[in-house]
Amino acid sequence: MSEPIIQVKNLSKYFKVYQKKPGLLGSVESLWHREYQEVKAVDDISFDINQGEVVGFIGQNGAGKTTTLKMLSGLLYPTSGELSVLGFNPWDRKKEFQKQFSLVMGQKNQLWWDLPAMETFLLNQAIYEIPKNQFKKTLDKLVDLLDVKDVLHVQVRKLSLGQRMKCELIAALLHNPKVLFLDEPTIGLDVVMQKILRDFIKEYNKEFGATIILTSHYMGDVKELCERAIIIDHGHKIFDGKLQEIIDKYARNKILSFVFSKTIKKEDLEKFGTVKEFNQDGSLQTATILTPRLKAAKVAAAVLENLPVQDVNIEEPPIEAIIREVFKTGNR
Amino acid sequence: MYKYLILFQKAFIKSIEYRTEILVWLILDILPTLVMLMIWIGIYQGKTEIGGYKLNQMLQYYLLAMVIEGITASHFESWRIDQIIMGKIDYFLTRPLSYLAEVVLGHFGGKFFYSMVSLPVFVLLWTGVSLISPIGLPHPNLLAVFWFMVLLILSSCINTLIALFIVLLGFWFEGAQGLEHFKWITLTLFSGIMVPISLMPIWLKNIVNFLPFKYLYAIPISVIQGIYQLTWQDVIYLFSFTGFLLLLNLITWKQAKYRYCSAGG
Amino acid sequence: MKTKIKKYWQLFWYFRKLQLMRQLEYRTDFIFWGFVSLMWSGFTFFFFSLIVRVSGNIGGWNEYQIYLLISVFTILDAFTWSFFYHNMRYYTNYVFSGDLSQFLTKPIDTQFLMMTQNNTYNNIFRLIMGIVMLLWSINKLQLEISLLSFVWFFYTFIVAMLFVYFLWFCISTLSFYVEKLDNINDIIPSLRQMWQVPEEVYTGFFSVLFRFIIPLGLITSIPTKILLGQQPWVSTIYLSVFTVLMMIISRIFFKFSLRKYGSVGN
Repeated sequence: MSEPIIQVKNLSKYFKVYQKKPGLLGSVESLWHREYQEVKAVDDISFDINQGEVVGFIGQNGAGKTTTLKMLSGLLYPTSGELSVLGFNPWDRKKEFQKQFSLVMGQKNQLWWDLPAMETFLLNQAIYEIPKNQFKKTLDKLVDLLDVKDVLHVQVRKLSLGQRMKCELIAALLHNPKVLFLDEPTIGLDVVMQKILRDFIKEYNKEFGATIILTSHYMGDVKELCERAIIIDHGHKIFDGKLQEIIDKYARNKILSFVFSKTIKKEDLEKFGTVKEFNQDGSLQTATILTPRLKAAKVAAAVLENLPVQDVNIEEPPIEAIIREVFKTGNR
Repeated sequence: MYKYLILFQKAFIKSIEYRTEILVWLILDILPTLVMLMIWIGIYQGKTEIGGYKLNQMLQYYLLAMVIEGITASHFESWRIDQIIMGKIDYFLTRPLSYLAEVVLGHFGGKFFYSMVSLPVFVLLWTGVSLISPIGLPHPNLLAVFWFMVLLILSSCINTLIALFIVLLGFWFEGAQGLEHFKWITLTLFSGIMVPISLMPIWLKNIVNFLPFKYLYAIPISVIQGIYQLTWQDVIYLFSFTGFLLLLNLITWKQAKYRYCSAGG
Repeated sequence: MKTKIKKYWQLFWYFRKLQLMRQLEYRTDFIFWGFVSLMWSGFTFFFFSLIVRVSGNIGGWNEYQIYLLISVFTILDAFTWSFFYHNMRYYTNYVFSGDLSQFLTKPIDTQFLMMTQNNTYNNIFRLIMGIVMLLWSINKLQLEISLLSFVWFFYTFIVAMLFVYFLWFCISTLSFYVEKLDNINDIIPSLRQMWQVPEEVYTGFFSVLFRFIIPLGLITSIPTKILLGQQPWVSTIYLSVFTVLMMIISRIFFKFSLRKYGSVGN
């Protein structure tokens, strides 16, 4: 088993935030005296990531996800702790290191606004010193995967948001990075684009074997892409493991959905579990109930036996709800 | 009425926040004047009078021009037009407060702060210069001081109205920002901020005397230096010009509002 | 090492090509600002002609010598506005907005990127005007310029340009230390007046300040004096040394500021 490609030990990052009182008096006072408080953006986080893994950082806004990513990219200097990416100390910002990773931050763009995306690609080729053949091969593959052949020579400002995001991704991946940091990659995109992007990231990981860390507060991103999730809350790591484990551990209930062929009484259903929904849809009666996970199959069987069921469905609760549970129960 | 006072105060507070910027502007305003003073000190070697001005009067001229510029000049065209182009003034148009009032009071609030901060600096500078070369002080009579104040106020209004007009033109075309440059060239050529009128070639003198811009710098300075006395023709001309600018702005604003709202911002 | 220089050299010209493509997108802008720049340069000549008309000389320099100086100034101005200004403006914007981060992760020297990425071409008219006025003044003064003088002039002009550039970069780097300063990019442009006049204008305390401590007064005077047939050895060496010093200081200051940027967050 080779060494982990990313190693983080007791990483912390504290910031000083200045405060100002409102109004004229506050403005004058701030001329010579400003109060500040220390914010612990990241507090003693440790984890290892192996090559080829796709890991999701989950957390609410301000949890410390982006700060951690910035430290891994060498943008922020840690307050304390050790970290190593691809064997380098990111803060040194060695060229050899920078040529092997890529950071993509949601809405920030590196494409030159008034020129076609192709020009930025060529610029990156020069900056990353990508050999001509490799450049062409990678570019063709990426363009194919993202289906943007026709927009490469159109000015970036004339492209739609989705097309722009795709080109931004290509620009970030031209140099075949071994490690990819994605910060809120699907933010602001519509559902269709989100799916396209997620599919692409999956493909990319499969095709190129890159190690990917992505931060998101969209559960859909994490669900689709990450086998492993690290949950960060107020700068602390409160969970690190397979996504399925979170579900197993924190999802207390399963959701059973029924479609009945005949109208039934609500009390009849309440015998089996907590009724969440109870609707009349034309001639059909639909309902959902919650039951404890372990009993779900038994309860479903019981309902099928006793009530006129036309259709049944057993589901996990949405992962958002599960994560909310995790945060509610607090730190371990 | 109260809301206008608050606007003014808000602009004043904003200036305190931007105090570093204001300090920088202050220093930057001083340097060109310093260079001009040094040029003239050099030129006057071996001469007592040029164009009817003694050395100390010439030095006074440029320092007074600097003071007047600090108090009366307007620099808000660029960023105000930027706001219009980017559609950011929707907020102002939906409030029960005139956009014009917002621009004008915002400007004066900031100017008030600047004047407060810059006056002591100017005094220091004046003292500093008088150490190098005896510059003295002008000795105006009370009437001259009164007219000087009036001219300053009118100059302030005229500067603001011209700038406001340029801002309003921004509702029609983006290039309005470039008009600021034409404004500065015009003012620099025809207001007397460059050189005293008596030093200008005849053709320029004629243009300057015909246009109203001399009342922004050349005339006020001459008044406070006791060289020139305002006539009632001057007063009528000046008030008419100010009135004209005011009317121009009000009419343009009416059209601008219509245009902005019909174009969808 | 050699490939490194080659890479940066190629990148430098690649940026110029990209900016040219951009500029061609905005043709009206180009014409308009080209005109505005001509207007201001023309005005400068007019302004000094007014003063020389009544004074006969400025700092001991006669009318055409002054025009020669202003020509050198105008050529320098063309570079100042089309190259220096835009790089510094984008640089300070990146620092204030936090967008600097995107450049920090690239395998290219960040200072190089910040200093060379941007420019416009609309001061080409100003440059032409400066050169024309330069040649006209040389003709009026009936100067004969030897090859040595020309090479020397060219050298000091480049040195003066670099001096302004590194000084400007240092001032722009102050953007790391203030939360927001809208007019940080107006500092050097406002100082231009200092080298619009011959160095002899500065006397006493100001002579020490502007010819020695911060030799802004030398910027246009030295190259012009060479064209006038003088041999300002000491000043040339002094300005050269000062420029190298500015280069070193700018690098150290930038690296130090980046470190601060990384510890305070963006």
